[in-house]
Amino acid sequence: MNAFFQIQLLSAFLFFVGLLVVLLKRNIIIVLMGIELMLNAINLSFVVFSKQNYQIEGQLGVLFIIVIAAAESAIGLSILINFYRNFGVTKTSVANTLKG
Amino acid sequence: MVNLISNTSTSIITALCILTVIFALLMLFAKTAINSALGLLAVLLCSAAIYAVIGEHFVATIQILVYAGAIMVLFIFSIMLLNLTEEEKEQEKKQEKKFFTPHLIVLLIGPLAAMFAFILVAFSLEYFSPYVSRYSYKGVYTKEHIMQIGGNTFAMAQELFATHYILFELISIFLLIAMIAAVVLAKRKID
Repeated sequence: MNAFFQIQLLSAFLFFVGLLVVLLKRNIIIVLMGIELMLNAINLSFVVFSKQNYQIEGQLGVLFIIVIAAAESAIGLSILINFYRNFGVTKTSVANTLKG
Repeated sequence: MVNLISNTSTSIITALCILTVIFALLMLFAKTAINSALGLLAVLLCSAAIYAVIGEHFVATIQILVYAGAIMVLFIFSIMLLNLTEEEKEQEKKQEKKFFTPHLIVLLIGPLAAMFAFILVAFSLEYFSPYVSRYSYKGVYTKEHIMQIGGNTFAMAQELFATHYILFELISIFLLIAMIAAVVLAKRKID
């Protein structure tokens, strides 16, 4: 099997696992980690597609995705610290006071 | 498809893919948050190794420095900061028994659909690209061209600072704003 196609399969599988982590886990820290895993899967896919088509824009996209992931995790974790201060736990089931 | 990667590299990539899958599953089925974080760290390091093997050295370096360095330190720091109490651990044990419920099957549909969409796109680009090659856009950065202009990092720098410099400036301002926002949000009281 082609190496690039293997990496695409790996990317799809990592996205699957990341989405499962986001949906199934009850700890908010682990949910944030699942989002990071999904972003990492997209990065793999971007790099391989840009390599296959002899382009370099895909790798620039990866650079920007990494920057946005860093910003997102910093803000997410500071929101999480506020959440912990208010509720005393870091569970998704506790965050049900906002009625819609 | 032109053979861009040698046979040795292909077997190394296969081994790394299998390792990454194992670590991702370890992350999914880990009992505690710290084990999950270590699984994620291993996945990130393995993908950095894959980038290095297929020749994208700059992306591999950034992956290790930013992802496996900075972001994982943030995660592990907050796991240490928000220590679980004993009562919470008891509750987790009670909830752990209800893991495989019928709604798990419903939950699986979305991720599986996402995975098959990914695989479909990759498969069609892999096997139908010879037939539609005159419509697809091939860039100029072949292996020989990159070697000629002085390596992958140089090619990326040229593209980043000469063509996409506005995006670069915007993302730096965005990062500054995010940093200020994180400090403001984590502060106990703003005075």
